[in-house]
Amino acid sequence: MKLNLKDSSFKTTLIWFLKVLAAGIVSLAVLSVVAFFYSYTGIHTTNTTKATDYTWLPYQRMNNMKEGFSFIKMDKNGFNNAEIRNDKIDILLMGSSHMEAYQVNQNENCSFILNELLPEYYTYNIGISGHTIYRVADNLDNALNKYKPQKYVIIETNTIQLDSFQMKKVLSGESSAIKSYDSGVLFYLQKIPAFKPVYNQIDNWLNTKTSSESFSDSPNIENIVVGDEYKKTLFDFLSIIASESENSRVTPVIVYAPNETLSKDGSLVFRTNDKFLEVYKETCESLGIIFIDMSEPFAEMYSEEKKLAHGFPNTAVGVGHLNKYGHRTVAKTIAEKICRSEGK
Amino acid sequence: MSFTEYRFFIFFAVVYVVLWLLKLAFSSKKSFTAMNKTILLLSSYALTAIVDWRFCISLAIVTAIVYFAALKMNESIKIRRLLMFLGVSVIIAQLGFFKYFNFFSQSIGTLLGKDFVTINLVAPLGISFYSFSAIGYLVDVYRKKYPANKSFSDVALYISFFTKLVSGPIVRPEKFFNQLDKEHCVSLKNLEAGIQIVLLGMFKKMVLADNLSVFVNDVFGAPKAFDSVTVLLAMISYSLQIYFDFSGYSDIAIGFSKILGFNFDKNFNLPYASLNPTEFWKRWHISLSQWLQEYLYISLGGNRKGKLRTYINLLLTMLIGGLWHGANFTFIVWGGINGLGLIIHKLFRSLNKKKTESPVTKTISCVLCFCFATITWVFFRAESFANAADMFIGLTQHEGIRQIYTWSFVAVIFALAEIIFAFLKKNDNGGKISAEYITLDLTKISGLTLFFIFAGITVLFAYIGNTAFIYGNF
Repeated sequence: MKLNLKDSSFKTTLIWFLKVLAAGIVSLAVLSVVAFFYSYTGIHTTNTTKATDYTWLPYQRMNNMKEGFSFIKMDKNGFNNAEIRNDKIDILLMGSSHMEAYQVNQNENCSFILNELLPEYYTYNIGISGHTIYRVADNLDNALNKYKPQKYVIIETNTIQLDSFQMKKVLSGESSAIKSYDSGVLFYLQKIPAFKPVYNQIDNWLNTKTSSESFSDSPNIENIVVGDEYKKTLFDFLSIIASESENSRVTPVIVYAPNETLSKDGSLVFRTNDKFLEVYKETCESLGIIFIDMSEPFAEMYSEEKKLAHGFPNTAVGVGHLNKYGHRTVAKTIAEKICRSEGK
Repeated sequence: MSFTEYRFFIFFAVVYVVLWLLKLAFSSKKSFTAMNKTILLLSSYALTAIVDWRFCISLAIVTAIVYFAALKMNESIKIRRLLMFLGVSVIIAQLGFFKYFNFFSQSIGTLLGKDFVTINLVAPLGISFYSFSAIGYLVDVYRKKYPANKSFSDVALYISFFTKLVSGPIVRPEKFFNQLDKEHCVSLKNLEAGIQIVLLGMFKKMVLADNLSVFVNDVFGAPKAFDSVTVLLAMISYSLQIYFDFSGYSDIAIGFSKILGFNFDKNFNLPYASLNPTEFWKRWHISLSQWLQEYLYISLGGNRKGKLRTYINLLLTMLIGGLWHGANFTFIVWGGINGLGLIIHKLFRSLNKKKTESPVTKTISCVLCFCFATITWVFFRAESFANAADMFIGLTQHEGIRQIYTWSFVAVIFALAEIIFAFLKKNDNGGKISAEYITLDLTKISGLTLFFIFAGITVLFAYIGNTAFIYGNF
């Protein structure tokens, strides 16, 4: 059979389309096997407890060779914990994809190391992708009620320069949860491992901006002035964390793990605005929130070991999520801070 | 607008559908061919105008100069030389003004200790490539290789044809004109072959080159931060990145041209399988190398005026070739080192006439040639001499970040696989290693399945970000 328009008849065309369909199904199966090992997160569903916006399916397997190399399995609640003890939870870890730690193996992530460093305390991690500090603050009340930590609630963030608009939305109860597709076609499509990564790639490709467009679109957060209004909004926002922690009789800890970049001369640079950092620290202090700035421990690790806290062998240097060195340093710093605050 | 942007795909699809409709509407081959050429010419100018309408003016000026100068050369024997000289001079002047005015102004100013004026200029889209195409056509007509084309639209289409406008390949005029009135047209067969070449190019560019660019940019951006192993890996990675980037670009251009019914020769033929610098330049960016040889090296006298002049001509050709890539001294040094490499190889060949036959010697030659190319690419990639020096100093640094970048190994495996595949097929090609496009039969389930898998893998592993084609800058 030749692909020649003149020879083509309805029957030939129909047969060819059937072949396309068959080839499409076979190739989708092959691609799904590849995608399963390369980048597979499975399905997330709405968290009915509202401790987080969503959870992964119980015992969900996740494989990642796109950013780092990790092969993990979620716990029965759909969070990234190597084991679930029957003990009461002492430390509840919350935060974004950095804390979720899909990029490192389970024995390399912050919660696992914290459990090793502080064996007398049981640390449970409910960090999950997309949960910036705004979503964490919004969910905190439910999270504390559900997991009832005895000692600490630790919130990871990679920014201290917050957006007033987002904070106000949380304060007014208008902040919306991250959506899950719990049913319908999209729910089932997610079960095909190739679907999500291919969809994401195409979506990103269609939304890739040219250099000039991306330049004009870049957020102008550097120009935000640390004015009294911002300070007040920040105070009110962090008060949610402070007051809800107080209600649950736990000590709130905020861990700031800033992104680092390399300067031309090889030195490490943190893109932290000192004025915002100062205001953030002061506000935390006034509200009784323990604030841990990871800039110095990260800089120390770089100086001594030439290791960066972010980035992987298959990504840009120092860019992306916390790597195993970053998790180790964060865990060690938290443990030291807890020991010190308890006079150990 | 880059070949890998979805906007280009939409643009191309519209052009393609229009051509199909025309083909179905016009039963007479002659009237279809005329309409086909008109649509392609309009599309080429439309694409240029989408980027910046002012670029069309430059394109039209070059076309007019070339068309009338060549036509007059046909008519008047007396003024042939003058017309050729004037035509080439105006094109070079335009190219020089847009690409090199600021470079020379600043360089002379620095030498004289004065601040000379610089202008905020944006070089017209594809100016380097269409200028070379235009010069080649004028010189060929002057050398009486073929008579001047009497059709203005044919010459205009040759200069502006949108699949080769931005970064080539620099197609020979006679090859292009011969196809214009012959078999060229849209057909399912051309679509079947072309789409696979485009996909191969997309894979090379978006999966291999773009993923490598992440690492290369990091290390070249701060070489002092990395240890020697990482710096070495970055140098090797750049050699592979530029190869996959530009050969990928060329494949996409060739593939899109094929879909429109034009057959262009491949622009890269396994350059890293070369055993010496001379062979390398016969395999790397073939259309530019041939252009430089034919219109610059031979015009300078080639090898006709003794050994010393041959060497000087070689060096001059490569220096000018280097400068053509960009207004920066690093490119001139890159060209100079390559020129010296060619001279040393010629000297070596004249002293040692025995042909290397043993596989071990060939492998060593191949590795050495790759190392030489890798060293020269450092100057090509570096922003400045200081940056290049930092890279070389980095090869001695024991302390620093060690980044063993995974994509570098994937790229090495792919590059080796290409060579090994060609090596296994070489007996079919008269014993010479040569790259070939593998075309799957898309009427069979097996062909379709492999095609879909390859397309899916390209999408899955592609690096999505702002990564322009390297040669888009030239």
